Amino acid sequence: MNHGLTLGVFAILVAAMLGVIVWAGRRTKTTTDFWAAGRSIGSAQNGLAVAGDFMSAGTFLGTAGLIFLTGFDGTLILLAALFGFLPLLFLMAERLRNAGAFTLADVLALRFGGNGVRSAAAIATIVVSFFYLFSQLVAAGTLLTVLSGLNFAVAVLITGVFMTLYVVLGGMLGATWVMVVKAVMLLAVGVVLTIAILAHTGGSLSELNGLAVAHSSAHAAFLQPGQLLPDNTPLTKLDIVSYGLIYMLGTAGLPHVMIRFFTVRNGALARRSLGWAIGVMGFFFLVVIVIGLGARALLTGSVATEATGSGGNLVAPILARQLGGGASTAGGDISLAIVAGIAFLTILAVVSGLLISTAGAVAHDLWSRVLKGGSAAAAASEPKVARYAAVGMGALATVVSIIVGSSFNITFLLSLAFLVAASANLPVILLTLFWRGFTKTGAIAGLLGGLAISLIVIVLSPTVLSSDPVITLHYPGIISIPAGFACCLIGTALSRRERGADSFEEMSVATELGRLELAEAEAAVPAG
Amino acid sequence: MITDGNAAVARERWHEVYTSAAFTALRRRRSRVGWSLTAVTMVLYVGFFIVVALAPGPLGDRIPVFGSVGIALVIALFVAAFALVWGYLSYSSRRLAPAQEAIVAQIAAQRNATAGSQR
Repeated sequence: MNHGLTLGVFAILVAAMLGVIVWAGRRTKTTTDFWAAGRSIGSAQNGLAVAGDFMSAGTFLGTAGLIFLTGFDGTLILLAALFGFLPLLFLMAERLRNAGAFTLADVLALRFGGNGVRSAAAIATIVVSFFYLFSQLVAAGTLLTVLSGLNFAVAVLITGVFMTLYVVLGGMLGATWVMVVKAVMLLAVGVVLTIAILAHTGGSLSELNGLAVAHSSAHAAFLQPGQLLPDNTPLTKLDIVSYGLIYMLGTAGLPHVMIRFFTVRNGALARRSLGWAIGVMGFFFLVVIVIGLGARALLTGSVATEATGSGGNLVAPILARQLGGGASTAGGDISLAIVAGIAFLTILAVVSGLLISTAGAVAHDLWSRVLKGGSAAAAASEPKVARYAAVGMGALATVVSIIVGSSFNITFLLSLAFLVAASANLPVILLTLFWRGFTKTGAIAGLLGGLAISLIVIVLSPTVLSSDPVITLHYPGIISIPAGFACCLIGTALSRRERGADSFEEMSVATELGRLELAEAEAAVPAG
Repeated sequence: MITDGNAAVARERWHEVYTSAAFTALRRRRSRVGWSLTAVTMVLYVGFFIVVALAPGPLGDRIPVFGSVGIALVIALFVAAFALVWGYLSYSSRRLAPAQEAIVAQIAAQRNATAGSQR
């Protein structure tokens, strides 16, 4: 690989994005600017930003590689991500935006008030976003090491420094625009790769699939279930369904995705932006399927071995190199450098969004609201504290990633993030929005109980106890998700006297009609 | 939050809006549509994963263009997801959004009237 060229492309892309960030930074003054981009993002842009979170290095590199390795089974994760957005649209997006919040904890506090539920929600957000962030940084380091020849610590440090710089200087506005720009670039690269693949098969999908099956060691079984999730016993059959549930419901409960609904002007735009997001993501995921199958069809011999050797993560760049003319050709080297550069930019954009979500829980929820009691002085200094929190959390995530290093089990981190999102965040948000009888104690029990149960089931599963697991399910969501709902119900049952003491009606009116719209209607009253 | 300087009065106002016929109708309709579509989504999605778990063999049957029945079904689910989203968005902007705007406009008009009579 021509590391100099790849690093050059990295440098150009990162510097161009810094330009976007500086522009955004000039427009970021108030607290609303920092956390919610001044609620100024349009629906198409926000749609691209939401889609951008899921058109990540994880899908573009990871899933293309997974499809290359496991065929049909690799496509299931794309289905999970896409379907996770449907309940988010049907039940949550508009209502969350209408609540006029900055963080998830804000939404819960609108109904229940008090610091207990806010702290619990902030902790659940920090766990999900921080573990997700952590896994992305380790992945970025590993990837950059292979693509650019830098050593792991330097690679993580560079990613961490730029991530923190983007967030501190540009806030949510900068992070959103970086996401939009890279989403468009990634779409363009995906389309070009797809066209190049289909050009090799004379535009025939049948030919493409035929070649993929012929070149796979699994042969005909390549396009049927069983390569990634074998189903030898009744329990492994259950594991397959559980796998589907974790990644779908986890996607629906990710705080760093939910905060993107707070950046648009009103609920209608939140709804439309999700329409855009689902359309763009769906299209991109289809492109990823073609890239994965195309890699299997077109990469043969030593190149196929090279692609397999990277754990599948370098399938897309290696395919780009082959389609550009092959190794050690100018066309091949340039194609690889461009694809690798955009993949790096993708990671940078995704970790920036995660850092904002984490910093939001720390600075807005824990510092400004819980510690300072939501005082006017605290509100005034929040933009400054937000930046300190971003630097602090960014530095912490970077240092921890460097120390634990590439040997750490990334699957554990990501599984935990999705488990907590599905088992703690999602049940509590749904019950808060829709169940009148839900209580504050129920919400706290759901958040902390869901968190604890997720941690316990993953530690007892083969992900951690590889040799002698207590729970033999690899994906224990089918236990922890119902358990999370049960915690909410038990907490509610134990606190019957709290029933009706919260502001359900106020929250309901605000989330259906729009809190800021109501305030405008109110402001229209001439001062009497 | 509507700032009134008086929490009890504000609470009373929320209660008034919440119990109004128009608001109740909007809330129920939006919730019914949302939960129905969520139920359809879950049945399709979980149903497909159950098929993957119980009948992997037939999903591997080769067909032209898509490669296998399994891949064809994945694509079909993508299309189903697009259709559900399109259905929700169009229903929402045709039916729900106008009802929501009408309620907000009515609240504004009422406040204006109250402010006028107090002057």
